[in-house]
Amino acid sequence: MLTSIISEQRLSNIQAAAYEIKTRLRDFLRSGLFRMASNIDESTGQLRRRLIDNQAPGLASMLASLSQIPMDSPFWKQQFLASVSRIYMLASAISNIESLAPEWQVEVLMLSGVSYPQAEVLKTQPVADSWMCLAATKSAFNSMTMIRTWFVGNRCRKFACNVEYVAGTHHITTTLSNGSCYQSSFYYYPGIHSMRVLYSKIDRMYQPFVPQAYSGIDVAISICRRAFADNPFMLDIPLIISGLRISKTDDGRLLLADRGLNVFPLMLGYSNSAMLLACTGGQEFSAFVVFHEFYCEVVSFWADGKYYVLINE
Amino acid sequence: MNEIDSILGTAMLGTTGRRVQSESFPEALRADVSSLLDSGRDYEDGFLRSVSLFFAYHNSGKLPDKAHPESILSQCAAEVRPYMTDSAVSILNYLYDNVLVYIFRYALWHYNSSGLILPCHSLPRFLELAYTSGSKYMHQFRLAVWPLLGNRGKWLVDTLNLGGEKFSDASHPLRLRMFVAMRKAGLKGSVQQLQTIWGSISNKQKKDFLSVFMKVHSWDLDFLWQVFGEGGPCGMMALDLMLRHPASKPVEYYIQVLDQSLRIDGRRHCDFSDIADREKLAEMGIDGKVSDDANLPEFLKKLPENEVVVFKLIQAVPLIFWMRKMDCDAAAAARFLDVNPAFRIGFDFKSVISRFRDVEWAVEYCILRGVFCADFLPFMDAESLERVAQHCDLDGSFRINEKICGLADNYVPWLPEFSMAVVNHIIHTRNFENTSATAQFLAVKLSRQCDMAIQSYIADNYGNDMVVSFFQLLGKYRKLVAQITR
Repeated sequence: MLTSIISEQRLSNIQAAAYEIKTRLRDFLRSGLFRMASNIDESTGQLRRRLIDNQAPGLASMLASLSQIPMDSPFWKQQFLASVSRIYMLASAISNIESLAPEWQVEVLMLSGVSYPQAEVLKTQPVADSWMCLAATKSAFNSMTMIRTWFVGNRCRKFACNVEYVAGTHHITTTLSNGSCYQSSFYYYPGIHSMRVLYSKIDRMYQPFVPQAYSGIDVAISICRRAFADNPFMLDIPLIISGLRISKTDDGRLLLADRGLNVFPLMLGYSNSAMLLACTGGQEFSAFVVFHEFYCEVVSFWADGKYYVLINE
Repeated sequence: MNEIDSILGTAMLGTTGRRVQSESFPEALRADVSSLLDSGRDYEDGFLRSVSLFFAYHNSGKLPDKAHPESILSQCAAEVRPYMTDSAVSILNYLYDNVLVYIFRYALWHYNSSGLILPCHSLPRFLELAYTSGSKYMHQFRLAVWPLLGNRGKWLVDTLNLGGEKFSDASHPLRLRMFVAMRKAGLKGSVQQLQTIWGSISNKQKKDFLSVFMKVHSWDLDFLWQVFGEGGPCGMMALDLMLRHPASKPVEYYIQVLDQSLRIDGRRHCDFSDIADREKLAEMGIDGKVSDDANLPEFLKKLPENEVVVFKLIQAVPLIFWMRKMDCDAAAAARFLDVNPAFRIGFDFKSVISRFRDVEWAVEYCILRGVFCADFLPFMDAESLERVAQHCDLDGSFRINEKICGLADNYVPWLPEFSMAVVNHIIHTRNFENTSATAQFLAVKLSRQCDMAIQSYIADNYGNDMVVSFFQLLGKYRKLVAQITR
């Protein structure tokens, strides 16, 4: 299985990269992660370049994502330490890849940045369904921009994510329209709870559907628990949830709440917070939410019979 | 997450000086952590593996927190006014982004007058402009956009804790901006706010506030009388402001004194007696001195003091004084002042009319003289201007400029005759300020009937012509105004 995905030389390079990153992370830990965090670009810049040279862009990207953690967040230290430990765990897994189960070998290699051959993906059994295009989000991936277009299936209720990489920072341009529905067969990449898909053909449907939603935060968190337990490398767990309200803490932070007063920290920039509040007006709403370890993000939502997609802040 | 405070502390500060052991981890993990710490390549290796285990354990047992019911945001009240269209919002955004200030203010006024409010998805942008942009016009914009926010917008202001800056706690420059915004919006509260800080600010700051009073309203008068009583330069500034309002105490006193002194017989001959209590009158700002007032005509220096005082009183009273004195209407009173030989030399009733913003007097003055004075433009309504246009020409010195545009206090368009008079004046005399601000002002004020004349001029004179390029700019702005009023 391994040799069908990766050459021996590349595996050797990646394992060398994993060894280096583990060594450096232990060094950072000795002098304190606070020092690393306060100077993250300078302290990890050279290392990231070497990881890319060693054909492990996924590891480099995980390291780069440490600088995205906002230090004014109430849980930045937990988030930073969790991310560092996750990188260390991945590097350890790469070092011992031969001892892993085949599905974990694929997962670990893809996380380190090895591309699974598209031809192999297109040989798998596709999932044919009507798919609602929820939203497109973008994030930095080394010196490129990764654009993820999220879908949810009508009958299968599965989430799917089509990923594109474009050079530099980019406006999201796509022929797909947020909130519109499409008929397609999606080919899922292998992996543990993998949501990444390819498709060869996608046709606009003119009879839209409203996707089914889970009712409440507690149900959503229970799904997240299972997903995190199955794959500790999972960072984004998408869900559609209904019956949502917004709660505000004494220090002005927003939380996503449900009818049962269950809450989860909501991470939204000022503009998106204002938009969410403006369009919901304190009323109940449904939303496409991506759950992370310590917070969640509302990517899009339904309110007053309309569908809104928040900007990528 | 309090359970891992010691683990976080070790990780953040470094393991060189401090280490945690398995007891710092949850009980369920201690055996595994102990094994990892013992078997690791070094302490840091064991620590990082243990932390990975901790987060995997934590995430697989994650539960949501519980909120207090009071922390759930309340629902805002339902809207009672209809939303403006998305194209109206686009126009507002375009006007703001392209700094078309006058048309932007007009659009806000128009949508508010039409009973419309901003749709909810546009609120964040407008709230940002009104509350967090930091622009020097932010407070003016805030007051102008407030009626368009609707219930949801106002709920959002509360929820996001916007506009929390208090007048009493703000710095002087910020207070001044807030005050100017309130004055432009004609808010009674502007004086109430000023009174709360008046006793604690310096004279320089007091002068700054008094210098931006603009139009004087009846609710300003008590405060200004109080400031006048304090004396000094601020007292004189307050007096000067009160002299703009016919119901102020100084003006009422002038009317009383002049009424006692001045006699007008049946044939409209004027005579006056000595003014009693000149000392009190001097305290109220009118005395017999000439030399220290550059605005007074030279011939007054040769006159006795009593006559100088009468002259000044006549220049300080509104038309209503003459109407009561002669028991006549505004037209007759204005005619009297215009033709009577007693007032032929040295008197400047134009400045009196402008000071009191007296529309009736302005109309009669223009009709009597046969020319329209541009200084009256800021306060004359469309009907009055139309009446004037039917009897007068715009004289060669009539000039629409940015100052006049800025002083105009209503957005109601002019009527056809006056509008065409302005257009013809621009064409024939070329006496206008060739700026975007003037073009915006005219785009709003000129009646639709002028469009053909403007287009004809452009078509007939296309080329390197200042008026053509101005009319082209005006035409572009007219299209925007037409979209707003559609």
